[in-house]
Formats: sequence, structure tokens, C-alpha cells
Amino acid sequence: MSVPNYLIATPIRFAAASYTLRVDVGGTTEDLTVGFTVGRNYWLSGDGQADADGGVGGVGDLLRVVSTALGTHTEITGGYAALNSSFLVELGSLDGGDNITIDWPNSTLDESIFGFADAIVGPTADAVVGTLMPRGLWRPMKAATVDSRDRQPIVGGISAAVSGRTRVSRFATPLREREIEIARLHQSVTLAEYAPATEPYGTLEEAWINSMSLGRPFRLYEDETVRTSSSYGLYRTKDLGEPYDRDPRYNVRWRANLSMRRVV
Amino acid sequence: MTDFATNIARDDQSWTWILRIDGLGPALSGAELAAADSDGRYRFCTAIPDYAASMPSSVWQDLLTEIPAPLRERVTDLGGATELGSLTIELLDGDDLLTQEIRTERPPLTRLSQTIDTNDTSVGVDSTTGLSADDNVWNGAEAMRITVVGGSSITVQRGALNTDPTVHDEDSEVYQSINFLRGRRAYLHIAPIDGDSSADEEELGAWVIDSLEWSEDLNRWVLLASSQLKPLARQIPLQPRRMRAEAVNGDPSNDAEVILSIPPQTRASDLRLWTTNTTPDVFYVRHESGEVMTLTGDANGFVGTRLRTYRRDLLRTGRAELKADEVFHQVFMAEPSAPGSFRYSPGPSPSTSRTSGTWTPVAHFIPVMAILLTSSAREGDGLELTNYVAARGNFASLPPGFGVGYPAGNIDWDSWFDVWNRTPDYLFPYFVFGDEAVEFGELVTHNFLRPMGAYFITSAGLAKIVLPRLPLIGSAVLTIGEANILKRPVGGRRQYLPRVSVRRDRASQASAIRYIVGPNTKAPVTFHSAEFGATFGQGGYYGTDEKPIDIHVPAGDPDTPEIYARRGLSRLWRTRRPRIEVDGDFDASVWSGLPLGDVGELTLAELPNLAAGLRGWDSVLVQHLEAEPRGQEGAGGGFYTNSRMLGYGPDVRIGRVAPSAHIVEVSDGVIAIVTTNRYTHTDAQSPLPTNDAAGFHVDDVVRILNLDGTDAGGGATETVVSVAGDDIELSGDFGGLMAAGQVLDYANYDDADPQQTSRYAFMSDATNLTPGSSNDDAWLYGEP
Repeated sequence: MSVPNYLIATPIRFAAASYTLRVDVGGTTEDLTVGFTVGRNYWLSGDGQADADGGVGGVGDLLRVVSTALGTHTEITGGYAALNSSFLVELGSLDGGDNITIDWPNSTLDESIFGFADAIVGPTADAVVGTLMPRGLWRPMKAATVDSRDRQPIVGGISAAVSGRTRVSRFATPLREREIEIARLHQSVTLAEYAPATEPYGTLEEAWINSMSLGRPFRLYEDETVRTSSSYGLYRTKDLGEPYDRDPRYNVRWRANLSMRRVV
Repeated sequence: MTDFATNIARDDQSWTWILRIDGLGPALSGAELAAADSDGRYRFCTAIPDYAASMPSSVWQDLLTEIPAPLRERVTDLGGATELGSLTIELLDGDDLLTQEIRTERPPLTRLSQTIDTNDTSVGVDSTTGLSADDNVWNGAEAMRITVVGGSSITVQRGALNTDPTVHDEDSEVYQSINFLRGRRAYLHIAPIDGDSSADEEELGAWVIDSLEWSEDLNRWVLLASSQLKPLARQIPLQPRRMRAEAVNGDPSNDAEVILSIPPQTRASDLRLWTTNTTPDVFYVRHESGEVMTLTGDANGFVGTRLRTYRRDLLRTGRAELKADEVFHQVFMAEPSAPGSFRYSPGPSPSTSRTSGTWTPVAHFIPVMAILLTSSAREGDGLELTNYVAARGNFASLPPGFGVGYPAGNIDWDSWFDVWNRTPDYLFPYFVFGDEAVEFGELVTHNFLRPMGAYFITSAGLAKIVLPRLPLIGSAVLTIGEANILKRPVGGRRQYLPRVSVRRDRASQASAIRYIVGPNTKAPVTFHSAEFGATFGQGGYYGTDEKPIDIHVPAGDPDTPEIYARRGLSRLWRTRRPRIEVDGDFDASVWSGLPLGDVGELTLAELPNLAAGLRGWDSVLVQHLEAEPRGQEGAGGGFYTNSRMLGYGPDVRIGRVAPSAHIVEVSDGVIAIVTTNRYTHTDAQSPLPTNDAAGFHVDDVVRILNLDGTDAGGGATETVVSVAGDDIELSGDFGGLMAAGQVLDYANYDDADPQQTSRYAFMSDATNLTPGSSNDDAWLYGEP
């Protein structure tokens, strides 16, 4: 039995409330509107959560948003957007009817988020598939070597008299904390410098610099293949120290040390 | 993209600190200057914000080597104006920018060939060689931006780089670089990195540069600056108006004729007196002995050289024996009736002429301060009678040179009118001003703010007046709890402590408050704690300290001691009790949401509740006295405030007038339709109710009374269910007894809801001073 790989998802935010996605199905070309809430967090999870703030700045499944937009095409009866087993985005139609084409150059929605090049993709039967890893996901391809699990810190103090009589003050029980270490990371998932052409955004450095170190929340999935609305923990970093270094036990590899605190 | 307030509320804030120095900026074209929001100064910053993309890149210089600190801002618990600490700024001399720009030893390029006034834009120079359009030139403290270069003159924009246009003499030197740094103003702002525009910048303070040092490696320029909270540091008047008595005819200690050496045949309008052409002009002067009197001009509106005394000894300081060659100064006195010199024209369509419209003389400290603040600072600044917000009225009525010249649009008028409306009898009819130059902050602190316990602060870039009081029911109050208090790790195993320290201080404890009221009073109004043993204890908390706090009110009226009785009682209580001070690190919402001097609510476990004998403070009122916005890298850093707060204690109860409403109709059995304004007024300032029904809140427990004060409801009470317009819906109809003509009133204390009684007492037993039959403390003091 293999140990499942961890996955960290970082949020995607949009600066405008709507974008267009030009989709052609069987010769019917339409500019579909993809609507967002500016500044809200969206996740490339495929867990189907509806677009909502959720009290944590956004829980919406970005693929569900796109799927809904695809469904507004007059020739699509079952639009869908999903991550396939290779973590590539598929955009298409469930009804299996006509060929589908996505015209990214004439769309305002940023294709790089979904792992596509700025080109016309298709026509392809049922679905088009991205060629790059989408943004907002870090796959270490490993399980954690050390995981503290969520732990409850205490804000308080303790004093003792000479006699040994003791008084404890407890002010608060803050949000829980967790530390994980993932050892023997390949350089291609650690440093942007080594990112492969097919996974330009798939490094820890990318997630760290552009999201986690800015204080954005991130999701920790303990099994990258199980991405449901309840299979992750939502955290923020609690330490701005660089979270990766050379693995001392195997120096050609890298090691990630993430200190995090629950968002709620 | 985000604005300042939104960013404050976020958990993933990103900030930049921005420093501007007056008179220091690059040459910009007209289009570039417009793109830079017409502000050509360098923005020295920690990071370049997103909105800088639309501005010329030369104005943004990310050269700050560290986040500037400290910036402590403080007020005392007795009231006054804000004090700011000094500021140290370290700038990297990246690409030798500073070395190239700050060439203060550079010789002048040319000289003025003419004297220029503050409004002149065509400037004659000895030579235009080396000058180009878009360049900045410096003359004295002023920078000018050249728009056109002619043969022997240049056309300029005056007051460039946020400098003040001034008069320049012929032959004065014209420089091509900033000619000095010491004395220049420096402003520090903070802005969200992803802000929308410079409008999202929040001013943290203003300083004056004192000195310049270089770091050991000579890479950094270190500027040391002292505080300057504009407009507090402005000296007013710019130039007192001095006159000499050429002769005194008649009885020198009575109704003498004084011949003053002022310009002959000067019209009253030249002195900006309140005048008409049909009556003699009356104005105030202070004799060198200190006596203030009025003099009057002739019947034609000329003040001329022959003036008669009109009234003597206005400050009750005694009459002087007037003699020739003695000195008089024109002064302005806040008498509340003519010829009072502090006047305003009410909004929404105020007059802009002294000879027309309504000009109301005032002695209240709020309009007097507004008049001092908004009146013109100097001839030619264009603010005389024009610096106003129409809806609020025109207060810019003093002659040029006697005001601060603070833009009326930068005043938080709501706060000023709120205090004015709450304190209509806080009059200062003996306030006299104008015979000597004094800092505005010192003037208003000494005369008004400290006597009344009010604060002059700047918040969000606006000048604000705060007169602290307990929040009314339903008022928005900043609550401070564990989510706002920063923590620090102790030990290594997930143990933290809150970053607060609490102490009970006796530093300013006093057994008495002594108001010394009036310009020459021999009978101070004193409030000694022993006189109030039944309310807050006649015995001292520390019997050895009997030092009173003296509060001088030179402009106050000694014939109205009741005003000082009210203020004295509350302040005695606050200063009499040993104070509980909370000093700690709080998140930025405290800095932005709780102005200095204002009152918030603090909740923190484990703080001893010295009234209940239990641990924990729950929504205890605290007054914000000091704040230092800090930016710090690393854990526990970010943008936060280190603040000092004064706890009112967990069990304070303030006397308040309870609401009443006259029932004119009963609808649906349980809805009392009441008179709109029998007990309230439509112009009441928020949060006071503007109609009678709005004085009640949901869950208030009420009763009904006959007009003679007897109970009309058979002893029953009902609870307010909703309030809408003039309709107050109740939980019942008092057993069918509610009828038109009755008065709706708060229920007896013992029957009332806790929201009516937890902080307020609205009636007391005259014998034992306890509210109702409860064991609660009686009210401690009332407050406006």
C-alpha cells in the first residue's frame, strides 16, 4: 500500500468581475461570460464547491465556475471542466455531440491559469485538454515525512510562589498550528529555476513567493487524489522564513518545512 | 485593487511606507506632473505600489532602507492637542540620486531682477542661461516650476513641490537645486501595495527636518526630523497689529480720547472690522498694561487717528492710566454679542462679505477654534472669507495673518458640530487673541481643550475634535478583544503571551480639581473629592497625595461656575481613581478605528475586575491616549499599533437623561404614535436622536405616565419591539390602558433592561443615592 502524496492548493484571484471565453461548438461560436467576485479566492480543486465567501475569503471551485459558463453555450447541454488524473484541465461537453474549440486569443480569461497556451485549441471531440499544469497547485509528489498534525497553542502564563503554589492564567486558545516536513523533494518541484516546461508554475518557490508568503490562505490535502470539500485543511503560513532548503540526508534533493496556522 | 480601509480589514495586507519632502522632486513635464496627481515631489518608499504604474517613474524611488520609526502620537488624559515624536528616516543613495539632487552648497544660478509678490508668475531674472522649461528653481523656501523661458524673465508655477509661495526680494538668489533641507517638511504616508490611487494613502504625520547624517558606509542618508502636526505648529497672528498713542485727551482712567498712530483716514474695512457705513466702528485693543478695551471710530466709518474709548476694562483686570506713547495692539475678543470679533456666517448659504448677510458673534470654543483654524494665514492666500464648506457655514472671518489657513475641506465638521451641539453653554467670552504670536496648538490647548477635556487630533487626514464620553446605546464602538491583541511566543512549545502590560498608576492622581476661571479671578472653582464621599469616596486611595490639578481657564466666565462643576466632577472622578493603564500591541484596526482621545471597549481574559473580584474584563471602556503605528518585518510584524489606553474601570455608570415621548395616537393596540419633536430637535448630531421615537431602542422596558407624572399603566411595563419613524411598537398595551395624551418613559430602574442600566443611571433615590431599590452604584457623573 502506497502512502498518498500531499497537495497544496493556493488561491486564484481575479481583478475583474467577468471575463469572456470564446467557445465554438459545431460551428456555433459564442463568447461566454465567466463571472467572479473581485478579490475572492478561487481554487483549482474540482471539488464542486459553489462560489461563496464561506467566511474565509472564498471557497469556490474555479472549475465549477468555468463549467457553469460552458453550460451557457447554446450547443452544450452538459458543460464540464475538470482535472484529469494527470492534473491537466479538461474543458468540454458531456453530451459527446459536436467537436469543441476554445479560442484563447479571443478570450479575456487567462488561459495560463488552466494550463493552456494562448492559441486556438481544438476542434476536438468532447473535450480539450490543457498541456501544462494549471496554476495554484503544488504537487510535491511525496507524502510528509514529519507531520505534527493540528496542535492547540495556549496564550497564557504560569507563576509559582516560593512555596510552590501555582497560578495559571489562560487568555485564549488561538487557532491551531501545524508543521510539516516533506523530504527528498525533486528540484523540479522545488525551485522555479528547475521547473519543467510542462509545469512552469508547479514549484514550491512559485507557491511561496506569489501566494503563501503574501499571507494568502492555502489548502493542504493529505491525498492529492481526494479533493473534496472536506478533505483539506485551510492554513496560512506562520513563519516568513524560507520554507525549503537542501535535504541534509540526501543533498541533491530538497526538503520543505512548512509552519502553518489554521485560518479558522 | 483595494482601498485603505479594505486593506486594514484583510488578513493578508501588503503595505508601502511613503516619504515626501517638500521642495524635493524631479523635473517633470506638464503632462507628467498631471499624471503624478499634480504633486511633483519624490515618493521615497519601501515598495512601489501598483497605482504608481500610471505615474512618471522618476517620482517613485524605493530607497527607504527600513520602515521609519518611531512615530508615537500621544494625548494626555486631561485633553489637548496631539503630540508627535521625532522621526528618523534612512534613505539609500541609490544611483547617487540623493547626492545629485540635494546639492545644497551649489552656488546660485542667477538672481531676481525684481521683487515678486506671492501671486506673480512672471519673474524677472538677471540671466536665463541654463534654465529650461519644466525645470524647478528654488528661491528661499519656495520652489517654482518653469513653464516658459524668456529673454530676461521666466514664467513659473508658484509653490511647486508643495512649498508655500512667498514674497521674494529683488537680487535674491535663484538656485537650480534644492537650496536647503533643514526646516523642510517631511510627510509619511502608508498605502496598500495594491491600492487604486494616491487617494488610498493614509497620512501618518508631518515632521520638520532637523539634521542630516550619513551612515558609516556612506551609502545611506539619515534624516532626523522633529514633529510638526500641521496646523498646530502655525504661529498666529503672523504680525500683531501694533499702534502707539500719540496723545490722550480727557480722563485717562475713564472715557478718554486716544489718538493712535495708525494710518490716517483708514477705513474700518481695511482693518477687517465688523462694520457698516452708518455706524461708528468698534474694535478691541489691548493696552500695554494688559487692559482690554474697545475703541470706536468716527461716524463715517473711518478709524482715522482720533478714537474715543467706548468700553473699558473688559477683562476686569483694572483700568490703566492711559498716557501718550504707550502701545496698543488690536485684538479680537469672543464676546457673544456685538461688537464680538469672532463671527461666523451660518450655512448652507453663508455670506462672503462682512457688510452683508448674517454674521453671528460667538463665544463657544468650537466656532472660535474653527474661526482661528480656517481664517486666512496671510495676505494673498485667497482664503479670507472664502475658506469654508457651505453646508457648515463660513468661519474664515478674521483678517489675513490672524488665522491658520487650514483648508475647510480637511476638517471633520461632523465631530466639531457634535461637540458644539453637546456643549452649548461652554462659552469663553473672555477669550482675547491677537496681541502676541503664539502657536495655534498651544493657544487652543491652554484656552479651550484642556479646560474642557477635549482633544484636537488629525485622523484620516482630517482635523477632528473629540470630547470623550461613554457611547450611547446603539452607537458603533470599536471593540478590542483577543483577535486584535498581538501575542509573542514564550518558551518553545506553543505557549504565547499577549503583548500587553497593565498597571495601576497613581502618577496623576489628585484629590481635587481646581478650575481657575476668568482672566483675573481670585476665587477658583474647586472640586474636592471629600465633597463627594457619597458618590465615589471621600477618602483618598492614597492619603499622602493631596496635590490638586489646577486647570486655568483664562477665557472662561467666572460667573458660570456650573459649567466647571459639571466638567470638574467627571474629571475629578477620572483622575481621583488610581488609573488602570493598558499598554500593548494591537492590530491596525485599533490605529485606524479608534482615534486618540476616543473611547473603545476592551475584552481580555484574566485582567482583574477590581469591582466584581473576578478575573476578566468584558467590554470595559478604555480611552486611547497614545498610538504608534509600527511596521516591522518578520513574525509578529506587519502594520500594527503600539497603544496606551486608560481603563475607565469595569463598573462605571454615567448619568444620562432618559428618553420620553408624548403619545398622540395608539395604533393596532400596541403601536404608540408619538410627537416627532417634543423632547428632541431635528438638528441633533449623530448619535443623538433627531426625533423622540428614535430615543428608544428595541428591548428597552418602558412605562406610561400621565402628564402630572403619575403612573398611567397600573404599574405595568412593556418592552419596545420596534421603532420606525414616530411609531414605537410595544410588546403589549399596558392592559388596555395606553392612550393618547400619555407620556412614554423608561420603566423604573429595577424593571429596566440591562442595556438601559449597565452603563447608565437615569434616576436615583434621593435619600441613599442608589438607583431604584437595587444595590447598584449610583451614577458617578454626567457628561455632555
